[in-house]
Amino acid sequence: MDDNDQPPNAPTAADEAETTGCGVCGSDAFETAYKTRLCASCRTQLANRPIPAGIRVVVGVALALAVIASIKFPASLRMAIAEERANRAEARSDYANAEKQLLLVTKAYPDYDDGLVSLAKDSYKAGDYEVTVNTVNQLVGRSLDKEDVTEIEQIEADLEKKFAPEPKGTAK
Amino acid sequence: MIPGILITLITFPGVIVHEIAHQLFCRLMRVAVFDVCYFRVGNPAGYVIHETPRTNLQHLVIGIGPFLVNSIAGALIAFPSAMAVIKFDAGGPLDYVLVWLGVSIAMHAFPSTGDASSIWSGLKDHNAPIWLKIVVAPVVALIYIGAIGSIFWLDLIYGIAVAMAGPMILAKLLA
Repeated sequence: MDDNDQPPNAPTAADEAETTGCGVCGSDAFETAYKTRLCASCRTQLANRPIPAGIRVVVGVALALAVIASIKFPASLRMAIAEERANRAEARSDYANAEKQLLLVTKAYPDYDDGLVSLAKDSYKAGDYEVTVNTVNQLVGRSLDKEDVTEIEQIEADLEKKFAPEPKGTAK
Repeated sequence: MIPGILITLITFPGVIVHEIAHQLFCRLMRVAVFDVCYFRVGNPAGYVIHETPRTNLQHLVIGIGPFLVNSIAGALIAFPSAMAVIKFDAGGPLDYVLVWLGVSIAMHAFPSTGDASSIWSGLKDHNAPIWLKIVVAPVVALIYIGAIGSIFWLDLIYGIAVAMAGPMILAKLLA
């Protein structure tokens, strides 16, 4: 983190001043352009200080995990694209297209609540009530935002109104 | 309030990558490295002790290099899993590990105040041209803001943003 905060064993300016030749091998052929007296070969050697094997293994494992996980990436990217397309379709009130895209997303991720809520709303607005009913049923028992719950309840109420059997007239 | 040491312990891969980046840029700039601590429980959690760089470029590259390395590495590692975990809430254990790894690495991208003061004092020592000081001053200021911002989780916010931004931007571009 604080890389240049000096730990107790850091070489001091006084240490460097005591050195007359290269601080490592004592050679007189040190590079004068630098503040630290080091010959070219010692400087190169110190600059190329090896990274410990343990650290290299840890980095290698992390990279290997990333490669393994990337196998699934195209699928989730496709779904993110589908959702983005759904958002755009929804913005231009093209609810049928939004529904089509969200069906792909929620099929791949059936536990994706936000996607299901959007699908319920868009399919209702597109007039595809069968999908709406199925989606609302899928949402039963899930914890949703208060606002979403209100909207879904409104859709349910509207659907009930639409498809409730006509009250029979009573003969007087 | 969660102690900083706990955050550092949880996000230790970021410290390791940060120090590796410093070391690699020292190698690239041919600056002698005397000691490296990749991670420890203490303050600082990691460090690279190197000789005073000869040029302004060396100062800048060694100081700012980890910012680029940690940001890019964090984004790339979290990239495959970020969408499944954060967007669709459908990640498996491996996805969660990679998101943790990516966010941890990215959140340690900010150079430390030590790095900032090193860059600034390097520029002063080398009688850098005024235009370079004008260019670098805001960078140093940003680094300080980043370091101070870690008190209110700016580094974590940055880590999450980096891990999420790549996949989301890609999805928006391809949609």
